[in-house]
Amino acid sequence: MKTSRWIAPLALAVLSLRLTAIAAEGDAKEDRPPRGLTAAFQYPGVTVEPEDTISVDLLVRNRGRSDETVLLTVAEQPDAWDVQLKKFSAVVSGVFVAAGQEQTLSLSAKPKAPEPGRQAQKLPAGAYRFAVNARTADGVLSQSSSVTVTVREKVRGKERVTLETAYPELRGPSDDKFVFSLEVRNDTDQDAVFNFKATAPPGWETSFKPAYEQKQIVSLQINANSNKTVELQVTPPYNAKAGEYEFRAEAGSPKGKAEKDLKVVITGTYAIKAGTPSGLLSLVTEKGQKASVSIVVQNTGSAPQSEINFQAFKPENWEVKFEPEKIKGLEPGAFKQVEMTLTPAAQALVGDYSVNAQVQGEKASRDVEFRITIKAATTWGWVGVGIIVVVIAGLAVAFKALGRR
Amino acid sequence: MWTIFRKELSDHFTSTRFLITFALILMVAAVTTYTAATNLRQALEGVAKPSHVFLLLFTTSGQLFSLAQFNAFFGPLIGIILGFDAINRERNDNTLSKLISQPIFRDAVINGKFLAGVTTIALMLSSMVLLITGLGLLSVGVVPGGDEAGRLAVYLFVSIAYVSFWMGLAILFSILFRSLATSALAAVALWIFFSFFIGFAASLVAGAIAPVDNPRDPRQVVANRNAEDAASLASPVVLYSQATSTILDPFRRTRQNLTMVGPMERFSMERFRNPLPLDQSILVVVPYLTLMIGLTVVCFGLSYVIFMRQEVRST
Repeated sequence: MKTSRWIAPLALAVLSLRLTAIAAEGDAKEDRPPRGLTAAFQYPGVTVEPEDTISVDLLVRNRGRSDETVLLTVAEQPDAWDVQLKKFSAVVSGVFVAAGQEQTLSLSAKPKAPEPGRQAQKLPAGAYRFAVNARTADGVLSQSSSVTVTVREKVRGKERVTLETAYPELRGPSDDKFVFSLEVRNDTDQDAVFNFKATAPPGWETSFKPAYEQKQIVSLQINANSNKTVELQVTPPYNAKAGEYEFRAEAGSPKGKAEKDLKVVITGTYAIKAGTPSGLLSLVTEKGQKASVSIVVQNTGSAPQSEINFQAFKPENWEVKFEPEKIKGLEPGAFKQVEMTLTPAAQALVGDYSVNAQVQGEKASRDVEFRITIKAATTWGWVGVGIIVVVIAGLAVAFKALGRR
Repeated sequence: MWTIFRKELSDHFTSTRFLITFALILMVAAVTTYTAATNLRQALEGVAKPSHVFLLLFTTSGQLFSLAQFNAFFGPLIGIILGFDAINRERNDNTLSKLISQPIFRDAVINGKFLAGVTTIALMLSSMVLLITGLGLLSVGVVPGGDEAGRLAVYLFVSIAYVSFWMGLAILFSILFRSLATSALAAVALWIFFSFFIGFAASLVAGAIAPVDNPRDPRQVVANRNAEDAASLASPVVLYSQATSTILDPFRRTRQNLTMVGPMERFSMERFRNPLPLDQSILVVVPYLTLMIGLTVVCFGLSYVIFMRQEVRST
């Protein structure tokens, strides 16, 4: 008994095999035995994916000089599988093979539906053995052939999506924008539209842009086995504190997904605000008379100020003092008061003067301009009125002494 | 007293002297306003936000002089013309003894004469200021604000006091000197000296008090200039023009003509170029105003005392 095994994947090979069979017919005619039968699968083993269907070609050949009717039975099959032998779309139980001819059938197999009316979608993984027994109608000749079908998840190997960046960590002050340049590789065999998504700490704004363009994008088409660069721009909230912030950028296509962890280190901004508690930036005083005003200094940056100094831009021979002279250690958001005392010169003119208080912090400074209105001293006014009263009184005395003559 | 007052007033208004003086003054005022209004346009060209435009009518000098200057120089003349013959004419005409023999107190004579003079002066000056205001409204089309109106009122008051001072001085001379020509000449001589020669006198005094050895030393220059200004204040003319220029110019911040200002101070001052409010302007010149009014009252008081002590004889 000959046990040659033939296994064929699908009908692709059928045509070519039939052509060779016909070619062999003429020259091998004389030395053929009176009867001979070969029945074999095209390939002894085949590996398929769970999504595929199993269909294996079965070759039946009449090597004799007389026509034969070959009956075929499935000798071995896994449990709970439906196995059918088909010629085109007809299910057959045997085949007639003329002398010297050959016929190709196919064996199709699928698991039985778990419940009637429903098709099993996928093949369960594993190795399955199918055996077919072929014999002539009179039972003289018989042969069996088997095939092992291995159902296995496809090993993807290099086929994947990757997301790479050269600089996964960026530093800067909180009023900066941070741009991560991301390279998206599509190493699958399919062109795909990639969707981008970024997760950020609360308050941060994120947007994806194509490289060197200003459009904001949500998805991008990337051809198979090529790459594109997208920029992820993150904007901190205005009040972001100094510290480390974690981000995750994701790129996903139907075929795969990739993500990248990114980090931004906020170094903090330096800004201070200064003003008066009432918002009033004018002072009224007399020449030589002290006047004072409170200045409130607030650290509006996100980094602490270690020392804040004060300076006054004032007319010469005026005196301006700050109490305290400097502020040490001002945390972000905190504020402190400073008392500014100014003494105009004794020769100052009546009218408006400008005095500029400079609040100089670390890498930040703020000017507060005050309008100092010098009022004329009213004492001289009263002295003048007094003199006139005295003069008029003198006149009245003269009237009294000399009048009514 | 009121009879004297009324009689004097009617004498003033009906006299040809008064009419001629008043016509002259009105003409000069009209011409001055006209030229000032013409020059005002040029003066305001390029000024982003002009303020107190109306006061410029009084302080802008046209072809010759501004109205304020005119008042300072020629206002005394009105006073002198009104007062130089107040008493001695009556004496010379022998009407004074007749007057006194009426049931009239002697002080009523001088008080009535002075009051009538002041009323005349007030009428003249007010009408002049109002006339200029009207002309200004017509030619410039600017309506004075409250502050400007206040300044004009103060200016008018000080001007009346100033001209009254000169009238009082003329009355004093008319009491002192019997001759009309002498009293008139004395008053006019004083006026000419104080108006035109006070500058020389003041610079002589300043040269003695604060000499300038080095003209490049700003301290010495300022000291000299201040001494000169102080010396020239002996003149009521200068006193008046200084006081009124501060009243009429809200941007004048000091009585001094020259002050030392450092670069920072200059910057600081020019940062806000705001006009002074009226009360501040008045407070700045309050010593001058006091002196002005005091001088007027003292002058009148002196005339009063001397007149009351004089004998009235019918010669």
